[in-house]
Amino acid sequence: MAGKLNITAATRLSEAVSENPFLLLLLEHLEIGLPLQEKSLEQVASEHGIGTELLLTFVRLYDDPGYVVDLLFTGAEVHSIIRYLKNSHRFYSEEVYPGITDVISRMNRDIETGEIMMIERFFKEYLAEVRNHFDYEEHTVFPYIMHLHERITGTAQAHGSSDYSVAEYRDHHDDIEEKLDDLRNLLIEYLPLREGQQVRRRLLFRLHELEHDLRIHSRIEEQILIPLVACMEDKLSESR
Amino acid sequence: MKSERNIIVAEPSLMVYSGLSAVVANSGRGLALTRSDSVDDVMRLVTLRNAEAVIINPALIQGNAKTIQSLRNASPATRLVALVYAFFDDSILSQFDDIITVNDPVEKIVSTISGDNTTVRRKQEGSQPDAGLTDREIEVLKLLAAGMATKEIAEELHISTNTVISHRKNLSVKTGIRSVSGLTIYAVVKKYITPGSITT
Repeated sequence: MAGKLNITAATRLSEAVSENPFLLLLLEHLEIGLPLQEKSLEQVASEHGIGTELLLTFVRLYDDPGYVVDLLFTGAEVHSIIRYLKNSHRFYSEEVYPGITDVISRMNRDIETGEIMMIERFFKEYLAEVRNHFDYEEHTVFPYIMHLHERITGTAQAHGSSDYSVAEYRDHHDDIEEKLDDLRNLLIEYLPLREGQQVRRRLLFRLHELEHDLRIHSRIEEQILIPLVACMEDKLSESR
Repeated sequence: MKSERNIIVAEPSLMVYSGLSAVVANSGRGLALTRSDSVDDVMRLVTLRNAEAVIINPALIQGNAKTIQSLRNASPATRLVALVYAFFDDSILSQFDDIITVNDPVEKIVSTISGDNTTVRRKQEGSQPDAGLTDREIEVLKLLAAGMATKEIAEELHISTNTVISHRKNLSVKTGIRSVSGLTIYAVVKKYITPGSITT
C-alpha cells in the first residue's frame, strides 16, 4: 500500500487522522489525547515534547508501512521512541491478544473440530513467544538504552559498563510476524469450516489490525531505534 | 490449434530427444513436443505455449536451485518431469512431479508424460488439490509434523540434512506457511496425518 497522505509539519493533524484512523493508535501509543483542535502536526509535537521530524516519520510509517526512514535521530528522541514501544506492547497484551483469544475460543465452542483446537494451541504458542520477546525488550534492551542515554548526557548514577550491545538485539530480533502470517494463510487458504464464516472473518479483521500495527512497530525498532542506539554506542566508545 | 497438448522438452542430446519424440508421436495421445535448448528458453516457452508439462534433463538445472521454483511460479499448473539417464542427487529429483528414465518401457514413458499416474494418485488420496507438493516433500512434512528434527528426518529418509532443509524451504514456498506448528496444521487439514498422531 503506497502512502496516500501528503503530510508535512504544517498539516492539520486532525485531517490526517480523519483520513487514516489507524493514526489514532499512533497517538495513543505516544500518549497524545484527543481532541486535537486545529493544531498542526508541529504544534502537537512540540506540546508533547516530541521532535517534529520524529512525529512526521511515525505518521508516514502509519500511512505506508513500506516507507523507508532516511533520517538518523538523536538521543533526545529516545524517551519518545521507548514510550511508544512500551505502550504498544501494553496495547497488544491487554487489548488485542485477549480479543483474538476470545474469538478463537468462541470458534472452538461453536464449531468444535480438531483443526480449531489446533489453531487455538497454535495461537497460545505464538503468545508465549511474543511475551518472551516483549519481556526481553522491556527488561534488557530498553534499560540498556536508557542507561546509554544517561551516560551520554552525564546523568548516569552508576558507571557500570555493560557487555551488551545493540548488535545482540538486532540478532535477537526474532521474526514474530512469521506465525501470524501462517495463521492468516491457514484461515484464508486451508482451514475447512462448514459453518462459522462470520466468526472467521472477524478473526481475520482482528489479525489484520494487529499485523498492520506490528509491522510498523518492527520498522520503528529496525529503522529508527537500532541505528540510533548504534550511533550512541559509537559516540561513547570514541569518548573513552 | 485446438486440442493439442503442448509439452516442452529441455534435452541437450538430439539422439535422446529424437527417440522420445518418436515414442510420443506413435502414442496417439495428441501430445506435441517442442524442443528447447536452454532454461531461459523453457521459461519463455512454458507460458507462451501454455505447456501441460515440461520434461527436463536435470543436468540443465544442476547448480541452479531456483530454476524449478521459477518455473512453478511462471506456470503453476504445468507438471515438471525429469528425464534421467545419469545419477542425480535426491535433492534435485525430489523437486519434480514425476521421473522418466531412458530404460522405462514405452507405455510407462507415455503415461508419465501424459500425467496419468499423477491424476490417479491425487484421486486416490481424495484430498483437496494440494500445493503441488512432491512425494518427498510430503514425507518430510509428515515427519516434521511428528515432531522430528531436521537431523532425525535426514537419518530416517537416508538423505543429507541440507536436502531436508531444501525440502522444508520448498514446503514453505509452496504452502505459504513457515513455522513447524503451522505446517503441522496444514498436514492435518490436508489429511496427510491425523490429529491423534501428533506427539507434541
